[in-house]
Amino acid sequence: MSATPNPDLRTGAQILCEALVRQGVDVIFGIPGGAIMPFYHALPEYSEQLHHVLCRHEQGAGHAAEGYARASGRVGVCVATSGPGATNLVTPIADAWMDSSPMVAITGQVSSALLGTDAFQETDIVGITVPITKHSYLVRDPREIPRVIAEAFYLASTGRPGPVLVDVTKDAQQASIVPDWNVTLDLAGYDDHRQCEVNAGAVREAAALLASSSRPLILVGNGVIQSGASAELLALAEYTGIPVITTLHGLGSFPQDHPLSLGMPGMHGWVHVNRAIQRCDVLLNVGSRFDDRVTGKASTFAPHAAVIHVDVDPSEIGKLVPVRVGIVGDARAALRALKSALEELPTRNADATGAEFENRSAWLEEVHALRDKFEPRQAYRRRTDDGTLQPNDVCAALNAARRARGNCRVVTDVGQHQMWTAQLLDWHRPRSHITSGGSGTMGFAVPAALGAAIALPDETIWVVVGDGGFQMTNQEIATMAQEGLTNVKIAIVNNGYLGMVRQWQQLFEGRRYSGTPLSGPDFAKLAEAYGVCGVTVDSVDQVEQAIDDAWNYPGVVVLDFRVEREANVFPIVPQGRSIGEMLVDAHTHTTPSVVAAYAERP
Amino acid sequence: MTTAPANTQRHTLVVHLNDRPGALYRAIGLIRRRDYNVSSLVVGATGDSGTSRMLLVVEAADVHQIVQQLSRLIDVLSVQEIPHEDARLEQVADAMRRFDFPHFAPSSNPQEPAR
Repeated sequence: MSATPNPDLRTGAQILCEALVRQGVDVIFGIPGGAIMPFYHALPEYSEQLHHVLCRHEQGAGHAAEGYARASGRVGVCVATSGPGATNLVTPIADAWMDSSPMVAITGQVSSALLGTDAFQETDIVGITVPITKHSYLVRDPREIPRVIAEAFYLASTGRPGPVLVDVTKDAQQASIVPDWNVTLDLAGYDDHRQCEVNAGAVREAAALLASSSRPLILVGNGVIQSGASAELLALAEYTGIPVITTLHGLGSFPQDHPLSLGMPGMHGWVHVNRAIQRCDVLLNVGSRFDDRVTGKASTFAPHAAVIHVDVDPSEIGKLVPVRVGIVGDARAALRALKSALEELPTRNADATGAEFENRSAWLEEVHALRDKFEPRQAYRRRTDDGTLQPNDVCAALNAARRARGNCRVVTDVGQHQMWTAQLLDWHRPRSHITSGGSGTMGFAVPAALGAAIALPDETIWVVVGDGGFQMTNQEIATMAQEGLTNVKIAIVNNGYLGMVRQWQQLFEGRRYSGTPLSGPDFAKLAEAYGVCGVTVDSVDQVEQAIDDAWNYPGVVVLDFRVEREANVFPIVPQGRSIGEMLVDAHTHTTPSVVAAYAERP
Repeated sequence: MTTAPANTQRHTLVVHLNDRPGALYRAIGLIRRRDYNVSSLVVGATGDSGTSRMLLVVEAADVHQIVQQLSRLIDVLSVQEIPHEDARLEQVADAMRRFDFPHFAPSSNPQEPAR
């Protein structure tokens, strides 16, 4: 007699696909291989719901998932096989960890009987990624898949978002069971610090500090963008008249043309912003983690300030900078609570005209005077006579085009071009600026733009990338071509150097250009070989037209801007120094002898 | 032989965590990341279902940060630093009992730890 198969039986691979669909996933980025083959075998049954983007390298798949997440706010998903497939995901997992990007990475693993035997393509990816994941799972039983995937997405997207790894053995993908979708999350040790009310006592204390301060500043970062708190930030800033500074990952969370917007602090921040930090008496940090690229030498950071730190991750509070008031919670809830607490303060001045707290106008005047004196962007406005194409010409033209056409997303890589783009473009909208910050991963931009372009098919995604980073991951242009994408435009700021390292060698190591001169292929021809459009631009008067044409062209475009080779990013705080000590330069490409240093007054 | 950095001190932590593969590895790896040395470690399942308790002595310059980051781990339920005078070796067994380590109770009845 033959038993009739139970029609409710599903393989672990099918359950994995269905679990993703149940989480609302519509796109996954990946590359197949032996240990993940059962998953790929099941995938066509779910092709209506799950679009698989075949990347050219697992690092590309991981960064694409990050770009997707950062552009859309949803969890990005990447898939790889065991061994080298999984280890190639390590760099993007680390990047997502450092920048708190919500990501679920799914890897195939050798069959459970072979675990720990050095089997073919076996790597302990759970062990390798322990320090760079929010959490991870090794799944050996298909019955666990519904709960594990539900937990993975919950963990990745709540609290302080981050990457979660799910490693599924091949036999767990192959075994058939009847899935039970009534799952209970087993996360007794997890607190996302979002559901609960922020501590009312701490909020009142913070409000009192802000109200009594005469030189307050608001510093905002990624947390404001992640929690969607831009409206609450604007409301608090306007209500109190406190100026706002935005970190690299905070760009776009506060409109840059607002009178209270000061700009970016830190190593390549503006002089007036760093001066304001060193002068302020109360610093309200919302959703930024006092990264060393923001603080410079932390012991000298904001020496006169009582610091209020709002962070969803309690382990960030007091980690690097002493804090007077710590508020654990979501940025949006905290900003709302702060404004309510300020409104309830009895000492409030009835005159609600913006700068309504005492002495606030004097502080604003001081800050604006600093801005006028140090005139941001001035170093980039002066030109040499020979008409050499400068990197800032590219940024200026892109900014002008963007202003004329409305918004677009800009994805940058890591290095000089990243800082020029952050400094020289106007940022008005959350999630319009996507870059690799904490990890500083060269090679991030092209694949991250792939992910952003798939998340936002109706928007134009501009990539600004150096010739060094472009050569690390440009293979994902082949993925864009296969996907038929038309909304990615790539501007290579090509100076034939690993430019940021070269700049440090020029300024601090006597021009000893060790390992930094860099050749490359003809990028326009390379683009054509990929089946997309490529254009070389080497004079100033072609820049605007090239950007305009690229924007109009119905396909991916690679613009190879051959720029001044030794242009530098200014201002710059030397590594390990106080942000009160910045190097500034009158011209962008001069020798270090004319670099002027000045120290913060005591 | 390596020597500990000058400013490190011994701290005793009791960590309540899930009794699952990888939980211990995550917790200890976090301490390794800072290049802190674990000088003593005792860990065992508790009477509660599915959890274990770990008593560890770590030579650390910044134990507050370790406590904060341990607390952040999904598999960690609580972290407590116990005063140094309680942490002498001869008192470890007592601490184990106080922190509900039935395996370490000398009494024949693990539910009734001796005082």
